[in-house]
Amino acid sequence: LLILVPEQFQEAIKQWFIKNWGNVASVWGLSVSIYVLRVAKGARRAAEDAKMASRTRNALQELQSAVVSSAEIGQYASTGHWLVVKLRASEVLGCCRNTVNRWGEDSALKGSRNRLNHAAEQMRSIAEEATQPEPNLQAVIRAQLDAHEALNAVVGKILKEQEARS
Amino acid sequence: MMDNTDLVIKLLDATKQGKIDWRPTAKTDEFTASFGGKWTLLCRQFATGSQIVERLSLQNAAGEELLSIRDSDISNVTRLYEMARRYALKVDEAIADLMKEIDEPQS
Repeated sequence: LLILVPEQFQEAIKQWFIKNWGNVASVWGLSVSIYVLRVAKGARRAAEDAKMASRTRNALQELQSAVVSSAEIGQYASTGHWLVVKLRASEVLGCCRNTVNRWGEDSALKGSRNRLNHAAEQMRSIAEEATQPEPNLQAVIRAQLDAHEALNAVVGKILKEQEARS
Repeated sequence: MMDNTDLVIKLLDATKQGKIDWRPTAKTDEFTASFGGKWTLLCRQFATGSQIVERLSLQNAAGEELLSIRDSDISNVTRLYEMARRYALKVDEAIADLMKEIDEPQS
């Protein structure tokens, strides 16, 4: 750096550095610390994003299988297989409750908690109705469609957010 | 301690204003609504012996029952049940449609 400075100033700069080397080293150290902090913050954010993406992926997988089970409830109810209806409804109910409690605070799911709670409640009512001696098919199908619509809306929202992020 | 009467009155007002989306469940005479991302309301009518009872319950996101109020505790629960039923089954829309149909000249 000194080579670039005109010769008459080189000695003065040298002296200045000798006198102030401590300050120069402090400023240099501070700059390095700020740089390292920024890199560490970026790495932490990237790790958090990756963790959230993985959580959302897990939630999505569970919800997609819940959508399949929900559709099956309608088919089994129509054919009078009430024991299977009860089992499937309990499965979907558990999935909805798990999703809300485990991932409910994630940004992708925050706006969907009402829908998941609603789907869970509909599944609870289907499971209870399925144990009756003569279950009300029309009411079960209506509740199943209502829950199915809510679950599909949540899955759609997560997929949309994933697409927007990528 | 919070008074449950205030809660029921607040729910009545919110239902009247259409702020609570009540839906029928798979069980007869049972209606549900979820809101705030945390709570689920359940309003039901059932028979115990010769008596007809209305009951409002509040659940958290884990499905635990936080509150259960019967019409014998707070009489407004019966009104809330009736309003939730009207909203969920779209009774007002049905009546409006029926009246329109009656008013139209027969073809």
